[in-house]
Amino acid sequence: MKIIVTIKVIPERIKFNKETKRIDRDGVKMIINPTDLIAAEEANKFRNPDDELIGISMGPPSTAEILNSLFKYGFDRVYLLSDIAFAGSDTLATAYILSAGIKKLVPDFDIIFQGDYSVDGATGQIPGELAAFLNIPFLTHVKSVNKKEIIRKTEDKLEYFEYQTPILLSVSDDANYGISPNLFYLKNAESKKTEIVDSKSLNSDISQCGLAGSKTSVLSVIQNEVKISKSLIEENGAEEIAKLLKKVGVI
Amino acid sequence: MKTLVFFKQNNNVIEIARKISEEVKTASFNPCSDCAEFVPEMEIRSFENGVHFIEYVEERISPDLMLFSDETIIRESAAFFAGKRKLGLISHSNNVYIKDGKIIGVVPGWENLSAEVYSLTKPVLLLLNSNTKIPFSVENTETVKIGPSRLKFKKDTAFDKNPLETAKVVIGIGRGVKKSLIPQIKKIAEKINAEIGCTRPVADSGILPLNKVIGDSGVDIRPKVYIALGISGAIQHTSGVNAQYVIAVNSDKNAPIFAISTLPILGKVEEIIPELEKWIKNIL
Repeated sequence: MKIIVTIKVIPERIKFNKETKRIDRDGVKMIINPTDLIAAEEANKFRNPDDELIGISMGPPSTAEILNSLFKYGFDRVYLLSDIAFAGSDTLATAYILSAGIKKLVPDFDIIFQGDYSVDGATGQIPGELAAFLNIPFLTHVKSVNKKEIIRKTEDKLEYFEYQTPILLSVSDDANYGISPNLFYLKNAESKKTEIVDSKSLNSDISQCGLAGSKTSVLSVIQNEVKISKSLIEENGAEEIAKLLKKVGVI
Repeated sequence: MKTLVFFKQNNNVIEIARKISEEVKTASFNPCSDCAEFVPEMEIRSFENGVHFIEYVEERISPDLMLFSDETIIRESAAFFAGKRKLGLISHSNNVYIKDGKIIGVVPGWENLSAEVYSLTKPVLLLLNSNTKIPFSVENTETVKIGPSRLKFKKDTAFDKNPLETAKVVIGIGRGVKKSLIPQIKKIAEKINAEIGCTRPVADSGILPLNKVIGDSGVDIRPKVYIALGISGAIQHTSGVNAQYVIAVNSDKNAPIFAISTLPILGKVEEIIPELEKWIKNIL
């Protein structure tokens, strides 16, 4: 089987640039999106030893080095889709680029694992949009998957589904704790490198990538209004808390 | 302007739609008889059935705006529909209004900022945070036939609710709480029978597990008392807090959490906690 995990590299601390209306990535330490590592662990639990685990990411070339750490977790191949034409992509353009990468690089994939959302963007739209571009079924909030069934969590139920591959699953952030480096894979990890793939080699349609392919735009960034009408308590805070807890019957 | 609203349980999106739109049409993913103008013949469980349903109703109504309640199956169906039709989808907004002739979704961001996002395509698709049910019924309902799905729903089961959801008292831990204070806070929590929750950055840094996150992409809480310690009060957190009393301890006098506090306390958490422990001991 060929198992894909999509990976996003994000800034460790989120700093919003009011002028560019985007997240500032300059000079900030970059990490792998934690929810993607949770998806990677689910993929690792699901895989048989002879299955192939493939990472696909989109971002600037500088993130290739961070992606190299994926080999420690047992990834066999890692691709970074990187092109100036991809810059400024909203979720729809990102989903298109990922789909173009998957169709070109792993056309015979069986299953795609994703994080439910990325910690920096948190839109949670990529799974549905990517599934649409690939025209395959998908489920979000997946708690676990085995060869027979998928269990996923909705607002008030656990739902069980039968499925066929190919399928896309986005994994719930409470499904597990995230993948750890594996001693078995560590010895070969150093020799492997992320392969950078540009728009031309994907034959991707530039009009669907980056800003040109984005269908949403930011009009302005506004400061949330905060009206603190009450006067703040500056002394005997603990006593005031205890009094209130007693008044309302907590203690 | 014509707005088409989709929801499963949380139909308060209808109220929001009415504020900006003369004509509002309603569609529910539940096959209840009078809860919406369009309902499916059976409960929708798979995105594929959801997309069929959305496509059918959209063609009947030709809306300018499609407003989706932010519930799992609705969100899935909306995202696939957007991808299939190559339409912009404005994600988890907490407000919607018209500005400069554009339909704007207000998407909460970071550092107490929000982005006003608009769509470049028509109809405008917008996912709106929703968490309540309002009394609502319609006179005429059309039942829509549902096509096949590649995903086969087998069964569902109830799951153990996160204890945070049903707790009467919750203590929330934010980045303003030193890690070394947590054992002491846990002791207090035990004494007053409180559950401990946290903000996302606290869970992301590994101090508490992810299932303790309160707010967006976490748990919604409805306690009688919420004690927010060192929590600034970003909208992503407070959107999940629905408490009768909010006690907030923060050393920043401009912390937004104070705007929703019943008892706003300006002070350092590490100074208040030992004192509080003594007071509780005295009372108990």
